[in-house]
Formats: sequence, C-alpha cells, structure tokens
Amino acid sequence: MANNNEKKTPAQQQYDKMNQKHEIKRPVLKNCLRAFFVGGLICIIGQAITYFYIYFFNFTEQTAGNPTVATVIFLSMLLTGFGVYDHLGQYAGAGSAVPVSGFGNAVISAAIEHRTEGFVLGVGGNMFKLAGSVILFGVFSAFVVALIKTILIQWGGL
Amino acid sequence: MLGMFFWAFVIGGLICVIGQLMMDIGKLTPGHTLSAMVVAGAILSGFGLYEPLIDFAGAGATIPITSFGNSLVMGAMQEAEAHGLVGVLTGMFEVTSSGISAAIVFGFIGAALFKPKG
Amino acid sequence: MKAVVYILAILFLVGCKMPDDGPDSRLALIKTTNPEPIQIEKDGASVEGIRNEVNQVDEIYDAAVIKGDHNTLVAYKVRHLDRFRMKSIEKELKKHLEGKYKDETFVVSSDYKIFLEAVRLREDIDSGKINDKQADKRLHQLIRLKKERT
Repeated sequence: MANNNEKKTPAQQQYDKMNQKHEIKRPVLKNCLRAFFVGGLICIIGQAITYFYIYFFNFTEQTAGNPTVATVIFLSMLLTGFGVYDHLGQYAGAGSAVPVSGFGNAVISAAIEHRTEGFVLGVGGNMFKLAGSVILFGVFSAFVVALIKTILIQWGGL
Repeated sequence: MLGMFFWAFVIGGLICVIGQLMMDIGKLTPGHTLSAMVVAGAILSGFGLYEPLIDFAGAGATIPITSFGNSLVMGAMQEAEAHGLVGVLTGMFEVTSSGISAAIVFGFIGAALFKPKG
Repeated sequence: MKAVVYILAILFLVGCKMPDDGPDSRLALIKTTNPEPIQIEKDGASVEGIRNEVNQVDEIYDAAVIKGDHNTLVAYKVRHLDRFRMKSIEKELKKHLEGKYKDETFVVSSDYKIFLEAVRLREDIDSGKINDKQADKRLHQLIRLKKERT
C-alpha cells in the first residue's frame, strides 16, 4: 500500500496526512495495565478452581488442569450468555481474550449468534468461525514441533 | 500455596500484556494474536520450557491460550514415545481434548439456552 | 431461562460435599505442616531418618513420609522460586534416597495433592479410624494417583 503513494492525487495525499494527524493514539500503557489486571484475575480464579478440584476431588496438580479449563469455559458460557463478557472484552482487551475463557467466548458467542439459522447450518457451521484459526494453527504447529522433536530424539539420540 | 496465587496472577497477567502489545503495537487483529500465541506455546513446549512455567505459575500458565499449544505438543510427544512417528498424529488431542470438547458442549448448550442479542 | 441456569449452578455447588478434615489437613497447603511420618511396615530403615534426609535438601521445606509394604512414599513442598526446577529436584531426590537406602523403593512427589492426602492419612491413623491394612491400601491408591498422567 505504501508504494502507491505516487499514484495518489494531491487531495488524497492531503487526506492521508490529515488522517495520520487525527488518528486516535492507542493508549498502550492503559490497555496493558487493564489487560494485566483482568488477565491476572482470571488466572487467580483458575488457580482457585484448580485447588478446589485438588481438595474435593481426586485430581493432582498434574491432572487438575483439564477440569479447570472446562470449568472456566462453563463460566464463560454463562457470562457470554448474559452479555457480561462483551463488556469485559471492551474494557480489558487481550486480558479477557488471551485466557481460555476468551476462546470459549469466541466459540459460544458465534454459536448463540447464528442460532436463528438453525442448529445444523447455523450453530454447527459457524461455531468455529472465529476460534477455528486458533485450533488450526495450534494443531499444525504442534504437529510440526512434535514431528521435529520426535525425529531428533529417534535419529539424533537427543 | 499463597505464593501460587501471586505468581499465577503475575505470569497470567504478563502473558495477557504480551497479547495486548501484539494487538496495540504490532497492530494484529485478535484472531492473529491468539493464533500467534498458540504457535508460541507449541514452540516453547518443544524446547521444554512450558512445563517448568506450569510448575511455577500453575493456572497462570494453564489458563492463557498458550497452554493449548503446549498440551497439543505434550499429547503428541507422549504418543510418539509409545508408538513412534505415527503417534505424533494420533496423540495430538490426547491431552487437549477437554478445552475443545468443553467449548463445543457448552457452545451448544449456550445456543440452546440464550437468545442472540440485537 | 435464567432460573434454569441458576438452578444448575446451585446444584453444581451443592453437589460438592465438604470432606471432614482435621485441623492439619484443612491448612496443609497454606502453612508448613511437617506431619509426623507414618510407618506402616515396621522393618527396615526408620521413617524419621528418611524425613530428616529429605528436609536437608535446600529447596524442600515440608515433607511427609509414608513407609508401606513395598514402597515408601515421600511427598514434599518445594520453595516457590525453585519450582521451575521441580522435575529435576524430583529425580535428584529419588536417586539420592535410593542410593542411601539400598533396599527400599521410593515414590517421590512434589504434588500438593499427594502431600494433602498424606496429611489426611496421618490424621485418620491418629484418630484410629483405619487400621494398618486399610492404610496400606490408601497408600497404594496414592501411588497410583501419583503415576497418573494428565
């Protein structure tokens, strides 16, 4: 895009300049602080859930991760359904998007949104509209990493 | 144990800050950011760096989406140790399945329970 | 619709019953407990000696030892900043203990859950709720739990 500058009319260049001047500066520091606190809080809640599973059920620290993730996604379903998570997302940015609850929110809100198109084509077809890329890149990169590591271990004697 | 909560807060918060910086300074969309973080988690796991982080920060490392990449690699490696190269493909979801299956199940229930908002 | 969700949430919370914990196990994860070691199998090395050996390791500050028929379970807590190296501490400790006590088999764990269960077992033995045979069974369950992977 930047190379097209010469083709622009003077008026367009002027507009670009004005656009740059008036573009809202993202308050990076404030955003980061909010992301830090909200993200950290979600992790504290997750830690409390982990200890809950360790105390009352037969889970060790090693195995408690899975039920914790499932519980956090369950909570995120409730918050998404009542419309709380969207407000949280506007306030916290990455602080609410990066934890798995954000992943859950992406799946669940897509499912709720497309419900009017029916359960098969609407909910089923659109559920992973937003979160699909996370799964795709996660699975593929994990495949490559694990493949390289296995080959190194087997033939490199690592 | 109380230290665990503290470090879960700090590490979890920091991972979110990294995500926020990618969005604000790197000008990535949330989708790109999350995908990049999952890939980063998988790579860290490949170098054996993510497990110690989980030992140290507990939920601070398992709750952010980066752990998704980690557990995919862990599952694949576990199966690879037992069955060789084929295990890389078959073991991928061995460990991770809970996050995705929970998202699918609760997504479906949520769609049945709640009405879309205007 | 909201009522359904609330009812589900309440049912979920009610479904979890409080285990009847003694004063030690309730706080076992928060403060240093230093539970008395348990000796189910009387022959061989003394559990006090093993516990002292474990406590001498710099990174470890709280240890529970259970000596059963075939295995000796050692559960301990690692100082937080050393938790990064938790896996290698576990290996070193196992090697060290097995070098020191040649005819014992050790199961070593830094997991909070194993520690908590060891304290609970100690309390149940103290209050006379279970006999040696049941205690040994509980120990085997614990070892199985420890070996379980994600």
